[in-house]
Amino acid sequence: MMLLELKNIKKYFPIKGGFFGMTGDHVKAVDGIDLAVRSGENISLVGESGCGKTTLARIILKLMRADAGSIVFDGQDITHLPNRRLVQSRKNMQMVFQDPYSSLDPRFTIRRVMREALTLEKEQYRSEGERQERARQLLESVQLNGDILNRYPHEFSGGERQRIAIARALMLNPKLLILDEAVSSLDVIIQQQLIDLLADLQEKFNLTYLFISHNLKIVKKISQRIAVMYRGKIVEMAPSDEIFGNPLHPYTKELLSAAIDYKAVKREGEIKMDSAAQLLDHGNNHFVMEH
Amino acid sequence: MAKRNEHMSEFQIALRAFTRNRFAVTCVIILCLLYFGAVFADFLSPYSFKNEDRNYSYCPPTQVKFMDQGKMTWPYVQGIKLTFDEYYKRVYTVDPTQKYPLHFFSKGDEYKLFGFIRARHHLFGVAQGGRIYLLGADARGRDLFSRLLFGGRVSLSIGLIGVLISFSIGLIVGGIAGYYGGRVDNILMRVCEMFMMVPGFYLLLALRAAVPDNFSSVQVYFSIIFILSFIGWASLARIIRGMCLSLRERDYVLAAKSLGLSNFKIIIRHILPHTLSYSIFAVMLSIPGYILGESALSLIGLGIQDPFASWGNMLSDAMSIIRIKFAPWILFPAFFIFLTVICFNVIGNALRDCLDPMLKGER
Ligand SMILES: Nc1ncnc2c1ncn2[C@@H]1O[C@H](COP(=O)(O)OP(=O)(O)OP(=O)(O)O)[C@@H](O)[C@H]1O
Ligand SMILES: [Mg+2]
Repeated sequence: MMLLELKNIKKYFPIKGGFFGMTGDHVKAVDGIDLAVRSGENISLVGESGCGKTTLARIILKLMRADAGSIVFDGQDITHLPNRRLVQSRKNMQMVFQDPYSSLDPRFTIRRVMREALTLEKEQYRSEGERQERARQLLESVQLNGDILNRYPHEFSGGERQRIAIARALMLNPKLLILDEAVSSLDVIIQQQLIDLLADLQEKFNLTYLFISHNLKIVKKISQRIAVMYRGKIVEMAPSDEIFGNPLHPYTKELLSAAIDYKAVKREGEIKMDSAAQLLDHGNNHFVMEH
Repeated sequence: MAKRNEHMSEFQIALRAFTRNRFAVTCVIILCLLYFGAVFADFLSPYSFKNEDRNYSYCPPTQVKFMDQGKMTWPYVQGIKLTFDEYYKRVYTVDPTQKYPLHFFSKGDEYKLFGFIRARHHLFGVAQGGRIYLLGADARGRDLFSRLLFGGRVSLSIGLIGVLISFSIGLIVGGIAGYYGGRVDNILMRVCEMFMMVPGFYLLLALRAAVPDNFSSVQVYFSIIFILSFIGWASLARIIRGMCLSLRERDYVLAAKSLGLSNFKIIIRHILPHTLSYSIFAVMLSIPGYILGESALSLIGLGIQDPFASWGNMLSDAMSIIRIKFAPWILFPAFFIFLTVICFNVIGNALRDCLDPMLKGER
């Protein structure tokens, strides 16, 4: 069953400047993305910095309005739903944000951070004790001590903050968790620990992951399927071993060689992107953009 | 008693640095004394602000004596005789034969403490027949010290209330404009610019002219506050709006949104508190503007009217150089205005210094 279906999502940002900011130029941050995420699956979205990954994630979470396209989540078309009718889908999809240093309000103790995460489930956790119990439980599931509740975010390291953010995202017991570069800002060892932890959590809480990263190597272990994004488009999408064993799009090849040795990357001219190019089926669930 | 507050937010840590700035802490103490004096003016002053005696016009400050013929005695003041010299100028001479001992908690003019407790007791006073002018007297023989305390009520409170009003407006308008952006932002900011375009002092005069002239003192007082905050809110709203524009892009704001918090709650909880570190010193730095604004209005006779005291209208007595030469103590209100303004500025700057590292993160 499909948990999330994106059809032809587009988001163009106007470029300010010129005469009264009226030049019609745009950054095509997201340019016609189709993506379907199965329930229980772990799919990765990989691409270089600035290719529109975060923008796409924000659109899925309805933190930003898409210029075109439709979003169907859990069988419900949420594309045009107003804020107050999003309660159900908000409970079921959460995100771990890119920058652990800005994803927790510095004025809030961890207790308040966690309590706030239950806003939509106030009915279910009525007493303060119940809420704290839940917070403690989830902090422990990300291997943090339950007694950090009185502390402030600046007292934690980046990796610990990221775990707190993960625990917060799990407070509402969501189905889909979007992880935006959840491990990118951490060192290799912590990265590995966190990835293992995420795999455990997925099993434990029955989660579906949309894992965003700019590094192919990281996602190799955890993802069954990988979508490679370039300049607002998905240029190649295939099961993990297909991508690594049989990359077809030049950009994917480039990413792969960069993952092994960044010095080996050589770009022979620009990668051509035809705005009318289509994803072609190469069998084995392998889709590649015409090039 | 060990207080268990080992966990502090960055904001609290920054504020702790403030308490290490001796100069700023001194200023806080001075301000506290001034505000204390204003609140308890009725009790601390020997006379009411209306109590006048024309025989003592521009009487110089009285000395409190502790020695009588080489011996320590209970403090007393001497009588004062008014004579005229050959040019009919007033000359006050001390009359050592008359002695009026100082009384503490003596009965004097009746007043209502906090507006409802009837009382007659003053902290100090002198025996019947004598008068005590610690800081001299004004043209109508009223005690300058008492009037300074009463005047502080007007001058010091106008700053606080004015800032409170204009900051509330500024925060709300700036917060809404910055968070929602787009057309709302555009309209609100154009309105702000309209207010900022007009030079402050002329707007002040124009608005004052629009206030009916048969207003009572209380009404004048509140209309001055209204006018001053009417001018002050716009510049703050613009700055708050700028901060909110960048704050709303923060991940924790987006996280709150995806957790289903309403826009109102997000603004109140996650946006406006982060403008606090800016607002807190902006408040301190803008209070002097209100105090000076009131003084300016009162000085040129458009503010608080005699017999009610404010530092500004007391100073209007000192608008002639001859009077200043003859009775320099009428400049005391200016000294108090100066002191208050300096204190607020020092505190504001000290707060900025210790909050600045945080602020850089929040811009
Ligand atoms: N609010 C915005 N206004 C204007 N342009 C934006 C905005 N947000 C993103 N962009 C632009 O859209 C493009 C995609 O940005 P996005 O943040 O989605 O990239 P990303 O793939 O997440 O990159 P990174 O790996 O560095 O996080 C960038 O060129 C960026 O400059
Ligand atoms: Mg990003």
